[in-house]
Amino acid sequence: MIARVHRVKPWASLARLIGPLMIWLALSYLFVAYLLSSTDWIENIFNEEGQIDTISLIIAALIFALFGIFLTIWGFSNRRIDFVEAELAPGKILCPRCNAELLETTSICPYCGGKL
Amino acid sequence: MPVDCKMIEKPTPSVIGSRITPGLIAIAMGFGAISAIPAIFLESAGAANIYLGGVQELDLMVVIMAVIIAPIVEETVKPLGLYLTRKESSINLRLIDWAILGLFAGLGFKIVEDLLYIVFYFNMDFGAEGMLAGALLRIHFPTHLIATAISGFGIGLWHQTRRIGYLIIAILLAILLHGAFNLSLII
Repeated sequence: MIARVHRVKPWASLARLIGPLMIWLALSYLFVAYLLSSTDWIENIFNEEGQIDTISLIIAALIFALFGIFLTIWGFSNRRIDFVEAELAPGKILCPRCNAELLETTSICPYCGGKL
Repeated sequence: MPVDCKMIEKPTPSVIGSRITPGLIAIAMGFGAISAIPAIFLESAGAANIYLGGVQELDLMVVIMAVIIAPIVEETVKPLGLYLTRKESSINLRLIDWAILGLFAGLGFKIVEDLLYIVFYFNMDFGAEGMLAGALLRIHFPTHLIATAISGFGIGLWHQTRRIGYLIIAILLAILLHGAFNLSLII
């Protein structure tokens, strides 16, 4: 669908994609926290110098999970927007066929040959 | 049979819009992978400038590099293939397609970055065992994919509206996410 430019609504379409990815990110944090806390050989390699703190990983996982859930719900509760209207300078139009920016006086698009 | 004029609708770009193709995915992913090279040089230059600027404490330098310099540099260069795709003015992708192209650009960058980290950093500092452990700890994080999907969406909005402000907002969001992720791993 084509929509007028709105400050927030087009971003909801992006939230549909990145919301679930944020949840995946949160699960990745939990996986790393699990590896570091329960797998001796990895803990021995990295945590001798106290490089990674598992508590901070769990906190980050919770924050990203909540954010991901919020984005997913917000994204899917809005209609997906595929196209938004161009905000063009006066005297400019867009070719309805190929979307190229043209002068208002153009009668044939030089990019796709479409008649305007 | 008489035709009811009200039934004839003017075609919109959504009807005749182009679709994402394997070629576009290859361009996005390939340039995403290649962009790791300028990113390395720019980040090295950033590190040198921080050092010459008077920050000589290693811990502070690592924080500045990971939270400020690396996200700014990487989020700017990763969508290189998308900038080039956008130059093709006849392209008329849906916003979600731009985000998916961004996702692939991030994947290309991530593959190269993970390989460099695993083969050079983890292997040299912790040996073969460290290399395996490093791979287990790194490869499943989708941060680059998410951040570049945001940038890709911003490029799509810029392409459709002709307003560069959307790209700037998207890049800033991507930098913020990347910086927050890096910060969470070093605190």
